[in-house]
Amino acid sequence: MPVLEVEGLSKTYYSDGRGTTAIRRLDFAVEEHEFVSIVGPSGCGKTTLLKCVSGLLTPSGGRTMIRGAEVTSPPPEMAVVFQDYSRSLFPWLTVRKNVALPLRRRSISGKDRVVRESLEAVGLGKVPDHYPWQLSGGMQQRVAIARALAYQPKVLLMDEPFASVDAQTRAELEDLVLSVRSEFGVTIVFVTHDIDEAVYMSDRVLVLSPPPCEIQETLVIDLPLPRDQITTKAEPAFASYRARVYRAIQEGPALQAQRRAIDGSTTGDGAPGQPELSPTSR
Amino acid sequence: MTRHDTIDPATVAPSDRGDVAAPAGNGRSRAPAVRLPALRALAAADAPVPPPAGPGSGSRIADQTWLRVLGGAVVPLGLLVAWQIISTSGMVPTSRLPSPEMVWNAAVDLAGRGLLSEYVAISTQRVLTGFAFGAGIGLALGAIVGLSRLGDILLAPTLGAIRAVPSLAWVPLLILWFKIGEESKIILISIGAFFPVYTVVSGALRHVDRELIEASRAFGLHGMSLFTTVQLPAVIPSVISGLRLALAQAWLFLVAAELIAASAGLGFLLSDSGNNGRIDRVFLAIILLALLGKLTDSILGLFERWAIRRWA
Repeated sequence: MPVLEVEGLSKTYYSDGRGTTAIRRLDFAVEEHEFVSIVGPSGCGKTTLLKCVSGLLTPSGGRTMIRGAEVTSPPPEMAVVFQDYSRSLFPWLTVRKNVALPLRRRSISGKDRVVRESLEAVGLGKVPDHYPWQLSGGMQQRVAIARALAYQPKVLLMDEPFASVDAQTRAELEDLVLSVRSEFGVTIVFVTHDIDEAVYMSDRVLVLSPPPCEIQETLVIDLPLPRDQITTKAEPAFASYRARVYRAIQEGPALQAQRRAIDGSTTGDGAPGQPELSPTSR
Repeated sequence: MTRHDTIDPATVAPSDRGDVAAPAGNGRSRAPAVRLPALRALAAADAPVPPPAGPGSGSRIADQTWLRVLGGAVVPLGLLVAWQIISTSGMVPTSRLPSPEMVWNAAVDLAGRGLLSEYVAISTQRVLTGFAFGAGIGLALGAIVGLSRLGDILLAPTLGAIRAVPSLAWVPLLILWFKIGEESKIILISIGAFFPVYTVVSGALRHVDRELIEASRAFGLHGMSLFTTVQLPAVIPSVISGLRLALAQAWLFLVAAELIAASAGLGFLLSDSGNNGRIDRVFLAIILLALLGKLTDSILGLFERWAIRRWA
């Protein structure tokens, strides 16, 4: 049974009496221990999707189930790592306290040990008493990852977590997440706009269409584990996966126009009463 | 302004008013001595590897405090010397500028009659009471307006309109309602202290980084736990600067209230001495107001350091 199921998830924003559909009837499921990446053109609603899945936003339609239970507010089985580490860590708390804060309301034993082990797992065992702003961007994002790990989630959601760090750090953090994943056996849903990153890290890649976003293509990445920045990326299979994802994103607008034409000629689009902006092609 | 009220606070109050002020003064001198070694010990115990470079080690703070006290005394001492020189040289007649000695004698004279401590005590008490009410209500309403959309919609326009009324415009109304008693003065001071706190707190809470709130919600914090662990620490520095503004306002309104209608207190001393041409006492009252204002502000400053270390 999948640990995470998303069924018919939709999100429409309303402003000035007009609605903008960010996500339309998305369905997917994530198996336990799976690493699923979600890629798509920028502005396609990836972050909205992640917020709906994590219970931070209430979807307009459909639902998310975690281990069979519907998500209505942020569930304790999920942790989120955000893109902007500087705004997701608490600047007035030390690294250690940042990691410990979400545990305060949890009844787990050995919280200190959990915090220490999480920090060690991300290579920050030596700076627990520093403040986040004393650390580099990459290290701050490690703190955010440690905080998520300490929370001991079933599913770890990551929203473009490496978009604001330099390329070198990015590669290091990718490998860190992979090693943490094999060590802790956590299920990961990883949102990114970087195709290489998605292919390199994932078991499965979901390609989203331009908004209102739908799943345009699902790709199972059958590359050997453990992955390696040099050898994995040198494999011909890596290049071909990469090309397929890239092509899928490129074809997105055209495919969507086709689909729209078919939808329009047969029925309405199944969401009566929901006004919709025509998508601006990007 | 009748004679008989001068007597009753004097007979009842001074002892307990003196007590109110005393522990605050002690706390001020005691606090840094206890705090700093504690901080140093903490830093030593918790940082096995290179110590955090940021809100630094104890000794440097101590050095800075020392320097700050000395540096801050330079200008007042200079002014005192200049004052002494000008008044002894006879450049300005003493009816316009009394000498420091005359002011000191006025202080000794008033102290000898028990009036100095009484005036200081009653003024301080009025300020602290008014400040406590005003700041307390300001914190509560600021939190409601800053945190709740409904509170913002319902209350913000009304409070904004009340804030637009120049605070001294309340004086005639307060005197009609409460006569010239303690209530009218304390309410006026409360109004003065209320608005800085309300404005700063509601604004700061409204502008706590939404991403930070979202990140906290993702980890299951909401309602009260979100408020105490995230929103409150995030706004502590602005809350305290609001409190300091409010305290300054409280002293301002104290003098306004006492100038208008009082029979004791520093504002009364000012107006009474002004009317009687006792310029030495006018100087004394002004110097006392400066000292008391600075002292209460410094106590709040110590509270600020403690609060920031505690929450932020």
